[in-house]
Amino acid sequence: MCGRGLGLRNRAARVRVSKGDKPVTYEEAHAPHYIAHRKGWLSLHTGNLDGEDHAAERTVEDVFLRKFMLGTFPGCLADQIILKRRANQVEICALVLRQLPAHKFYFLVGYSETLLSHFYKCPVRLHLQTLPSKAVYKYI
Amino acid sequence: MAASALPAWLVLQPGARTLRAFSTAVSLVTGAPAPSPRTTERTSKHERPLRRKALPPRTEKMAVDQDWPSVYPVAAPFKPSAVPLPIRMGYPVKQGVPMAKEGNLELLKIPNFLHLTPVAIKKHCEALKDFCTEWPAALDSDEKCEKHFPVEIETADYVSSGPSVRNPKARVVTLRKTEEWEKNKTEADMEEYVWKNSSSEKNVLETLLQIKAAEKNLELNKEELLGTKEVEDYRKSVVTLKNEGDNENTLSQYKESVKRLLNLT
Repeated sequence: MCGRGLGLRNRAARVRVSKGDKPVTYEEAHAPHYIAHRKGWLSLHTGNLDGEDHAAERTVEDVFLRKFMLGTFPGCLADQIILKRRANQVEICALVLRQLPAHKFYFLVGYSETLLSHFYKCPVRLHLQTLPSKAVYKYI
Repeated sequence: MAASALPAWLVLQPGARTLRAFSTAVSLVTGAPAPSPRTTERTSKHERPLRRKALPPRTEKMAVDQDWPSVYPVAAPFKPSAVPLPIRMGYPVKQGVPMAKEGNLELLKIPNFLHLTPVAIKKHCEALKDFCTEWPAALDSDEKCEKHFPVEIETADYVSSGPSVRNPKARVVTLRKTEEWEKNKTEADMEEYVWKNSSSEKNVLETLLQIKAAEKNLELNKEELLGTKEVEDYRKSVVTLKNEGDNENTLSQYKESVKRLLNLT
């Protein structure tokens, strides 16, 4: 027996294998060590480049934005949020299920954009893509 | 003032099912949703809920010769219903294919350049031409530029993501100019040690030539001697020694290079 024993296992961002009836998306199916190999990054900004500053501020903003989206669209998010920053703008790309009628979606989009733009003092745009159901990658 | 208008390019298709309250969002989708308990006066309308079919994607109505820059005028995330290409992305499962573009998070993650097709770039150039002037024809070489404009000021601007425009590296400004009297600089005036045309170089060449002549070696080419590895090493060690001063590192480097040069190792 070698390597990690009974109790020490990596548990980060992994969906544990079950009977074969659990549908997982591409994002959930791949563990963090597949980032840059089979997965991209969910948040793109210049803070983590060599010689650039304010990485921590961007990360804190990311955490808040993810929590905010999770709460504003409860039960509607099909997958993780993608955050893209271009100069001072923030673009939030989200995959949503068609749980709410369209006028409610429109309201939530306008509300989120206005609130977040005022909160962060920079243009925040929301791009939604609606799906009938979650895109299943495989069943584990 | 923040942007409060709804973006026109929002990809939103009317929902097929209507689950009203948030608490029922996690429950299973039933066949016929019950009428909403909140609105009591319009029960007749809610007996059969609005079942609007999801509209077909815009790609089906796109002509082959459409104006693509109007579909993607600015940098925008990938919209599978607006891009008429059968793109697949993702690591496939065994005996499978990469995932389709609908609901593909990987395609959303990567930056796309759909707004920068050659046609679009041509349009940008045409629009910018009005604001450009020709380069003066008289300044066709670097020397002429330096002669007429001897002072050079170098500034750097930095763009990064975030609400702040400031970057401390942008405060560095370099001023460069050469004046007539600088050509009369002698070796004693030099701020840093330069190998070319120095007494060290001459000494090394003389010594090596003498050694070669004593051995009756025909290889007496100056450039070849200068190009050999030992002379290069010696040059490097002398330059570091003179510029950085005496410390253990530089002195040992110098020792090694001299030994190699005179074949004493």
